Amino acid sequence: MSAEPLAAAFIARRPEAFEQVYTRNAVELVSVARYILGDAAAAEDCVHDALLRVWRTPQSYRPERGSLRAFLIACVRNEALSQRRSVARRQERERKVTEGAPLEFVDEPMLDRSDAERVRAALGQLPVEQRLTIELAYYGGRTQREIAAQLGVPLGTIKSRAALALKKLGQLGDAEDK
Amino acid sequence: MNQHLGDDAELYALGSLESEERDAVDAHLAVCAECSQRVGAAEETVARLASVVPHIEPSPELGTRIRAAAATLRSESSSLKRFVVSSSGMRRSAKHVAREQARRALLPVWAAVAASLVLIVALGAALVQSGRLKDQLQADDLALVHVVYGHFQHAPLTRRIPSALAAAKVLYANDGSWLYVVVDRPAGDLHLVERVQGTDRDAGTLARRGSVATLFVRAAGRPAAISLRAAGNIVASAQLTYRQ
Repeated sequence: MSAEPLAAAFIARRPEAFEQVYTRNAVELVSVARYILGDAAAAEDCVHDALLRVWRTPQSYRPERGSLRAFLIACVRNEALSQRRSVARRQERERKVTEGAPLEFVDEPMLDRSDAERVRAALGQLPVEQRLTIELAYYGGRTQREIAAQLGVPLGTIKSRAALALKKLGQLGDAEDK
Repeated sequence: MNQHLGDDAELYALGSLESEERDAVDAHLAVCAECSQRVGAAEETVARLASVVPHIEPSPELGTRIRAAAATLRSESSSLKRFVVSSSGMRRSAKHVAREQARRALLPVWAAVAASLVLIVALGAALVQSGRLKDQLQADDLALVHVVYGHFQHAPLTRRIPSALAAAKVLYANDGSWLYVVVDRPAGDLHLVERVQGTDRDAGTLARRGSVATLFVRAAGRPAAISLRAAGNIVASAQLTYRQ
């Protein structure tokens, strides 16, 4: 089943659609959650909770919003970030970002190096302040206010930097897909 | 939030908004296709960033857990109803609860529907307390049973377009954690919109069951008002009040 009919079947809560959605996205969803939470078991609990929340209220996803995959990744990230922000173990990761240390990308067998290289190259094309904003937001899991305080710039500046950076990254990705 | 999201769309996609800000964005996205598209485009880009994250295989146990829970959620209503039919020993007390609830709260036209919910839930709660149901229902089912088994309030909906429905009523928890809307003889599909802290939120489409349509909603706050909408028009509405 291709992406759009699958999304429609998922919204209609057809069991086979849930099975396909889980099978297609489980690795990515668990990987995203583990990156944020740093623990495989907590990541699986996070994916479990997020997926069932969407399954319980499928109307929260609207097809005009984009792909179901991107929506699910966003849901899992938000669930994981909420958990992480509420626990003390964020301290170690925050310290790393606060000190401006370069982000560490760990190569593992499952990692698609070509995709990762494309993303790194795209990030490298951003102005430094925009790249830093994205890194703090996405890889550091910071809120907009935390980023503004850390960089010492107004909140509005962070908003516009994040918006500009994501639009540029989107355009770069679209160009490479063609 | 009635105005468009602006740059908050990208921050939302990045997960960089506080929870209250996220709730406001969610409410706006429920009614704004333009902002939904902007957020969706940002989420696609954010999903690309995930490619640099080291990938790990989920355990087989996660698949088993999640499939079982999804199947249970899908059939939670029917499974509870089966317990009603099969548990003759509990039937008398459950009927008594339903009769009492109906006598105190409900109008005749749709009383049977609302009472059936109470009957199902009351019976489920009794079984849970006896321990018989614990092994058969997942955590979400238990939550549903316990929440609905608590005290509730009710209000009729005032019809604004009489031809759209015969009657409607809402049952709701005093803490705002859930509400249940019952509509008698709707003319077509109906959406429920709830207003929480001045913001309208689409709570979903009512499901048709014979001559009535119903919707059960778990909510995160106390809605001040609800409305039923058909093709964007408000066909019925109610103000909700709460005990202190």
